[in-house]
Amino acid sequence: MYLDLSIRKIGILTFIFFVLLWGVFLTFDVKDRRYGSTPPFASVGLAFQEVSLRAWYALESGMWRTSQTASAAFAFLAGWPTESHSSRNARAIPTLTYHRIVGSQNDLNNVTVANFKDQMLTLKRSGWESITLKEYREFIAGERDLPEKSFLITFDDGAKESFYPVDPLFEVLGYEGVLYVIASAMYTLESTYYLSPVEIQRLLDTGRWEIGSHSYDGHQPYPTDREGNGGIFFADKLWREKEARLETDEEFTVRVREDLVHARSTLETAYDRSVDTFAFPLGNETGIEGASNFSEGAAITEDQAERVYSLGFLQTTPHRYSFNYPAESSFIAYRIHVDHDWDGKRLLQEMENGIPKDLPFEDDFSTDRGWLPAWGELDLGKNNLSLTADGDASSASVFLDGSKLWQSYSFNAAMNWQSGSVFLLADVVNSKTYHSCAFSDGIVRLQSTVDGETKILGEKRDSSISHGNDIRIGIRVRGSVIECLWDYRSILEAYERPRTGGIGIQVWNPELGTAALTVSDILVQPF
Amino acid sequence: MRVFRGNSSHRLTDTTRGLRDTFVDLGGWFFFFSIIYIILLFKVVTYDSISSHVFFGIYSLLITSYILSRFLFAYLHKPIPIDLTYEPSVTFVVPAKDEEDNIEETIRRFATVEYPREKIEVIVINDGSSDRTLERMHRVAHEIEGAVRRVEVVNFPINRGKRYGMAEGAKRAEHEIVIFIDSDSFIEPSAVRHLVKYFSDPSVGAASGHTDVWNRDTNLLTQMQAIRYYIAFKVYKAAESIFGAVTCCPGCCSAYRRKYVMEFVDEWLHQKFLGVECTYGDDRSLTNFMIRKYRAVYSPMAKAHTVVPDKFRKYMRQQQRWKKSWIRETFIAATFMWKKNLIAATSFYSYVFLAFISPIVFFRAVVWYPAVYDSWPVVYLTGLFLMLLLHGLYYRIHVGPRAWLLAIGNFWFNTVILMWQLPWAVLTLRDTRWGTR
Repeated sequence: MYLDLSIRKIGILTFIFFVLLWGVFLTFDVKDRRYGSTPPFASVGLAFQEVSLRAWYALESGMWRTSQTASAAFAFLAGWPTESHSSRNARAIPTLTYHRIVGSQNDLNNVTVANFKDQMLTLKRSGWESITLKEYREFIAGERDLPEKSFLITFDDGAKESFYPVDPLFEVLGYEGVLYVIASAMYTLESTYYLSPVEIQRLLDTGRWEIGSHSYDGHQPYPTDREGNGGIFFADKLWREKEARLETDEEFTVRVREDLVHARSTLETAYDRSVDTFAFPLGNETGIEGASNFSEGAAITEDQAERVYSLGFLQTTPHRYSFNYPAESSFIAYRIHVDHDWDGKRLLQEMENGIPKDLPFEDDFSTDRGWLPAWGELDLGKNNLSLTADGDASSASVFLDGSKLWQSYSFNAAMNWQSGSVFLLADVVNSKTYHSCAFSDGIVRLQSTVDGETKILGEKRDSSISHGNDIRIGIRVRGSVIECLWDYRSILEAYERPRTGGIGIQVWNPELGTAALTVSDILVQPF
Repeated sequence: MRVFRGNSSHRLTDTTRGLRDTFVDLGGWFFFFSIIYIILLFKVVTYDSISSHVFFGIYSLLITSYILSRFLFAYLHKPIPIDLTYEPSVTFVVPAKDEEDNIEETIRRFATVEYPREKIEVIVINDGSSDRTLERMHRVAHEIEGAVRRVEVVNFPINRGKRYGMAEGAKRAEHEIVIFIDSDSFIEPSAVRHLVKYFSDPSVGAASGHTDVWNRDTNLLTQMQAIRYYIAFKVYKAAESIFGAVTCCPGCCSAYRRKYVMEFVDEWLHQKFLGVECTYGDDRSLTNFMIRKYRAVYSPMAKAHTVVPDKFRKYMRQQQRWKKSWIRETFIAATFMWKKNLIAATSFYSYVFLAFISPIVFFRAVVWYPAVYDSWPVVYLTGLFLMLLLHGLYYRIHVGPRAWLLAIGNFWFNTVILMWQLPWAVLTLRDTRWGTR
């Protein structure tokens, strides 16, 4: 046989054999340790994404920092005034909600990578800095001061696309995030959608992330009748197959409680840390809009959640101020849902509109300063605020985000009032609780509305109160006095003022769908 | 050949060049083994589909281990050194038909071989050429007369077929070792010594030289063939040669022991298959007769160059011929190969299995699966590509950059097409129409 079995050749072959063997084992070991049960090909893709994104962002941030330093140096030399970020303390904190950050727009719930990057960079450049859950809780409890532009970033569901496209950016920007994990989903084997426990551990180890509970298995629809029509786990009574009936109230409560407890204990055991915050799945107040067969369901869930966790997140609505204030601290906190079509500028505007505003405040409606459309239609085009009732309603209402902390002020508005009644709101706590001066043709009323129930505090007939193209009305609050103003004259007073808050405007007309109003500008002065 | 000047600075440049070459080589090998690493990862990852479809799983594992084993054996193959005390007499036999362009150069080369004059004779056979081949033969025979012991020009006025030419040459030969050279092949001066050195072992009956492509740089087709020739010899023939079981000593440059050839020359000449006399596959057939009793080896240092088809149609016809002879001779060899060394036999039967199953696997992966399951055959095609990349890298490391990457792509395309010539060849086995060029 013409065989060369020299020591050298055998040695080389053995060496190569063991290197290859070692290489193959090492590869799979690394894959398991980094990506858990994620399928191999997906793991390769993720590894690729991680390496390339981190390298790319490092490069970009290096370039950005260089240009920043360069332009700062240049500005300094040229004697230009440098932009200084606000050094004030925050009086309220917003929280953002994301789900997945996707490559291409596939549904309305997820934000694209491009938009997300634009959003984060825009916020960073404007001086917004993210905070941790701990910092948030301490701020709400009044134990810590935070800079004015502080915010919390959360991601729901615990998907791979909440982490891999996001973390490299956070690393470079110095941002932090909170991941709300569906405890049962993370055990899905070979998932290319959810993060596996190994990956979540790695996420926690970066120091940039925390986790919270997003239920154990409460995120998917379950049958609410014999036919199997789906309902919301945390708001509807579910169909019991064996007994062939719906749950009782008691059974609902127990089921919900068990899920909440199970989620918390699973997460705490898996990651060896306290997990005491909860994000309600389908969190428009646990899907109250979808709740079909049990109106008390959502409230029971909230109550049970409060016994298991110390903080619960719901989505904010136009009926509330969008930021979270320490004074009103409760179990529930609210989050702003970042829409798929928001670019950086839009998100920045939404957030800056929510920052508690200073007095004096003037608005000619050339931009949206944060008017929350509680109900009806709001149109801010053409440098006017136009309010119109929906076709089946008799009124429309807006109030100004960020005005909640105002205490003593005079709110005056110039408007075109042609029909129905116009209300100027003051001391707005939310869309259903406020004081108002209600102007109708020939009469003005001072009212107090609490949770939608209105009480009249005073009333005055005055023939000068009439419709017109350019009327001036006002409401003034200070101490325990509320006054209504017509043409800058105080014409009605009340001495009962149990609450303080911000400003708003409403319009009303008994004929459905006709209430309409156009405000040209407003001025709020400290008083 | 490098001209060495006795200059110290020049030596430094050689060292740096040597270092750079080593670096590039190491890089090439690193890349080579990285491909193997990736192939192994693939096999592990696709384990599920391997274990669920046993037949195709076996194919997948077998083809990977077969190909890797070829590289392994080729690495372990050791050529023997030249023995200056063993100098058998040699006869060059060159059958030719319509080869007026190349025949002179082919024959002229015999005068330049590094071997004792009196031990060389040349027999050229004109096989019914319609051009000036015969004329050129006479002219060049006259030219080299003084450089060899004797030259004989045999003329067949009417074409009889290559086999008859080869047989005639072997019969008329008076020397011990017959070296068959194609009429468009050119040997190196050192080739003779490297061919005959193996015959000092009486169990050796045939030795194949290493043939490279002469017209390598003509076009993409020839470049691709250059890679295939190189790999076929340096990897596959070397692997077979370890056990002396080379299945084909090609007619472009191979040596045979005349005494053993005479034992079966007529049987070989009048070989019939399926009732039809065989006209093609003369070299493979002759080797097959030889390895029944004796050994056939590969001599990597016995170098020759041959002209390959540079037109696609000519190439396809050649490949089709080769496929048919391969089927016939493999069928015959399968009847006795099991008697040989276990590894040689296993390799042989594995290769037969793989060659016939490949079109089926290809069809299933690339046509059937996508049609039924609407999924791309990413794994199969990637695996195929990785294997071809492996071969191309091997070539690149040993021979150097010569548009090898493009050739790989072409190689891939042709492998995919040529694979289908096999079933077609089976169907047209009795058809001898493409027997001639």
